[in-house]
Amino acid sequence: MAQMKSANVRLEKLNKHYHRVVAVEDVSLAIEPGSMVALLGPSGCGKTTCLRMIAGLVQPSSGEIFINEQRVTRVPVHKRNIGMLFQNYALFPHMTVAENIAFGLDMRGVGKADAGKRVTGALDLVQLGKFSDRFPSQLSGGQQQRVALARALVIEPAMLLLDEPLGALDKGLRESMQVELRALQRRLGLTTVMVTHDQDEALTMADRIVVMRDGRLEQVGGATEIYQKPASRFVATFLGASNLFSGKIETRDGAGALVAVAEGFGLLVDGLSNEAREATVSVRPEAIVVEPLGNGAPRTEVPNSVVATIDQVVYRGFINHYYLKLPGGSEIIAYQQNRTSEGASSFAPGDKVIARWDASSNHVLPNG
Amino acid sequence: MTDVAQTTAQAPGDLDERSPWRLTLSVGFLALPMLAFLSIFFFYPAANLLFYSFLSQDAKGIIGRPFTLSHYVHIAEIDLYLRVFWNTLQIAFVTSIVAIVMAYPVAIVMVKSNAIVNRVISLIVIAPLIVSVVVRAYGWQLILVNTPTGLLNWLLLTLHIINEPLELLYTKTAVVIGSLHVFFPMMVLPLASALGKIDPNLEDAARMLGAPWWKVFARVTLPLSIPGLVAGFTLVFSLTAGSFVIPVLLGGTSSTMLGNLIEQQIFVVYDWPFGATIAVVLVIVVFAINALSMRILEGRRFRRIAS
Repeated sequence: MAQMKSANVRLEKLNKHYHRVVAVEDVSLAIEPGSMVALLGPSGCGKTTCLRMIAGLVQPSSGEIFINEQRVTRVPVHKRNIGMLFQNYALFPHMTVAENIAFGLDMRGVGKADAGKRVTGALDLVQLGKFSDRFPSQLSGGQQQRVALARALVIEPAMLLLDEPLGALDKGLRESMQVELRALQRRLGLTTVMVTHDQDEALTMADRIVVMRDGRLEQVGGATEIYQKPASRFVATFLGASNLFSGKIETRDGAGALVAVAEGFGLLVDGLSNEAREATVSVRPEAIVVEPLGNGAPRTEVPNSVVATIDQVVYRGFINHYYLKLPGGSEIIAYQQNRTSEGASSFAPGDKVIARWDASSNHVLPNG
Repeated sequence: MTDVAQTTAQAPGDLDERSPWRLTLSVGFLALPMLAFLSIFFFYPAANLLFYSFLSQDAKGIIGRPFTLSHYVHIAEIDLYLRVFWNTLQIAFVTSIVAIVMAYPVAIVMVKSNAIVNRVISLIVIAPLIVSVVVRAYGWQLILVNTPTGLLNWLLLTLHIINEPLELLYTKTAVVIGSLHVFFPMMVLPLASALGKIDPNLEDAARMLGAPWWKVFARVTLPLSIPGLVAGFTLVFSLTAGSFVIPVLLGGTSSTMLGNLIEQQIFVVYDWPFGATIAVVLVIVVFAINALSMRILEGRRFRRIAS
């Protein structure tokens, strides 16, 4: 299949209300040509409504959608030339695989001979050449999704929309399809927007991740940026786990400051604004090092470290999850990698330990 | 450890052995009362009817042997019977087709709307069934009367849509209108049920692939609603072809249907064997047409299941 022309897509102040219920509020987003963007969020956050507005299946209450700088907000669905994959594949059950794929070409008035060639090409692209005469009910879930992909790509769409495309597949297949779909999207250079509630899927597949909450954009950025520099409490806890500490700023030293947190220890942080008096700091569990409490008195005055008691150890194969109880009663979580030469865990519930981490792992949440 | 494993492994095995047998038996019991009822009051009389159609009637009116096929030949030979036959099929067919065309929009609205609207429409569709067919047929008589004072004629004349009163009552059109009114729910309900089973994503997918609404209907909605269509067609066609009250009250001599012919043969002419013959032919033809329509409409589905 030929390299497709990459489209750039722009959403401008999109809003969607259903009566008084706000589904999507003030969403503006520019999507680079050829990139894959993931709309990520819990169910009901408005990500699917956003996708359906781009598709034209839902009419926005206000705002505009541009594809290649052309306003398509009022263009009917069937004239938008956008490919879409549905969670349940949405293959036409009364048509064979070949007829399913040919449907879009038929709607475009492509001649029989040409259409046949393109259908064959699309089937080869998804490695399902032998299955052209089967009906969807005779295929596995993964095969059905490939047919749906071929059907969406054969029309040479301006862009591709994926609505939880792999949600119905089992874990192993889902992971290999993620990689495959991503490779194909890169090769074709097809601008793609996907909707997912699965953070791993977003991290694996997307160039940019758009975290949504209650109809609004919470944060937009690359995978590393979103993971390492979450903008808010919500992002910090929705994408991976986070230990959150809040406290007053004690002393300042240029850009750096010492935050005295409620749990009774200090955190060294940078990047605080001058006006800030309080801060919420996120520390990722994998940044925390758990060490045995040696002889001698616990040294709580050292910043970025705290004495804790092991509450629970969860063995997860290559890592252990340690749930640690702090003196104040709150709990933090730490991930520690397992090396094969060592035993399952060096600690048992009830052990006194020191949890410490590098100051660079302290990330101040800009939006609290 | 091994003990536990053994007991747990054995328990499901026992269940598996018994349940299919039990299931078949209990399902059989459930169907038994209806089967008994139908055997006594339907299959037995139907067989009797078939038997009668081969008997002959002597000059004294006594029905008995010899067995004969002359009644069947009689139907085929006499012009009147063929015409009535043709009328019946025509009326039943037109009624079914008009019902299909009218039922689709109603069924689609029912499926696409919320629960309350759905209930209201269902109620409106079903409501006529509460009123007796005879009452409704008389109602249509009042509306369709051929004089200028008939409701429809008066309305159309007053609005200057027509200049001469229409001749509607005692025509095939009147029978079609009456039948449509009576049997419409039989088309809408199965159709709505079939449409409700179509995944709405399929229609979205078709639109995304470039299909305008009418192509979405023609290529996706219509073919996937065929099971409901066939059920509705079978019901409306069979019921209309076998109807009696409506053609009596709304049809004239030109729109006599087989039902009326049977009544005449049994109650007026007292020729039971010939009446039975007409009834048998009616049943066979309706069966054949239903089988044919299923074959045509669902052929592809059968092929899919077979492959």
